[in-house]
Amino acid sequence: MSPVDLDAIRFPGQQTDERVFLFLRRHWISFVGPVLIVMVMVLLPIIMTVFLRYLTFDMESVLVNIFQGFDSIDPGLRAKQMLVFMYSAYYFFVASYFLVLWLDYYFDITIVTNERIIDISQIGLFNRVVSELYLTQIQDVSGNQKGFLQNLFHYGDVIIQTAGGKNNFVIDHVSDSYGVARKIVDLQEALMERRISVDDAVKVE
Amino acid sequence: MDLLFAITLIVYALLMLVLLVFNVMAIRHILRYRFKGDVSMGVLLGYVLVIAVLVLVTTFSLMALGVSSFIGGGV
Repeated sequence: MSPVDLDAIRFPGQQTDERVFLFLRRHWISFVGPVLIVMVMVLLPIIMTVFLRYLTFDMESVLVNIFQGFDSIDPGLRAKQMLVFMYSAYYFFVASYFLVLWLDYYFDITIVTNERIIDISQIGLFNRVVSELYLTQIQDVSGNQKGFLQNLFHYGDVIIQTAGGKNNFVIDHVSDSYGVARKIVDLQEALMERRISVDDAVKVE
Repeated sequence: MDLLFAITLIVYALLMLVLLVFNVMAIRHILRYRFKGDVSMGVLLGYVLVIAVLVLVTTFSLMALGVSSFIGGGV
């Protein structure tokens, strides 16, 4: 559930007595879609070349004709150089696109501490939304796993209902959503007990 | 220098500018928001290696295009 060292995690605004109990990322299956898109993008020039050859259409000869139209010296060589340039520029773009998709996946994080839940949503490269919810504000926590894939890979959403008119807090596509929901309820109960015992101690004094 | 090379050069410059902004943002983002013990530095290293190779290939192919546009194909 938490592959990183929880004690080593530090985040802005962390209080001295605040301990991290869960460090959640979306299940790896959520990243399969973007990986497939990038794989198609990587294979696309090869597939296109084979397909166009099948249709007796050669990209290199098209470039040779273009260079001849511009009265270039040695259009054959220049067409080859242009093809290498086009392919490398394209793969440059694909690599950058992959990095953005990976950032979007990997930097979507939810941290559950003994005090609160911090949800960091990375949307593309330029948008980052950080929202937090104190455990005392939680009214109900439920975990769900919907559909074939979620049951097969044992992941789902955790829906947290909050007190007041606030929107529900949803942790998407986490591994073992039932376990996460249970842990959040346990942490909330532990926090409540701690507060009650502190209040009792104050009354005795 | 012929017209086609000039167009390629402009396209290359624009592409590099856009990708430079994206890459600087992405790398800054990783360095800023990574957590101790996660794999982000490993991914970043792999990415930088791939990008370095692609930049070299793109730049050298562009240079080859430039040379042949000035002195012909015997290079």
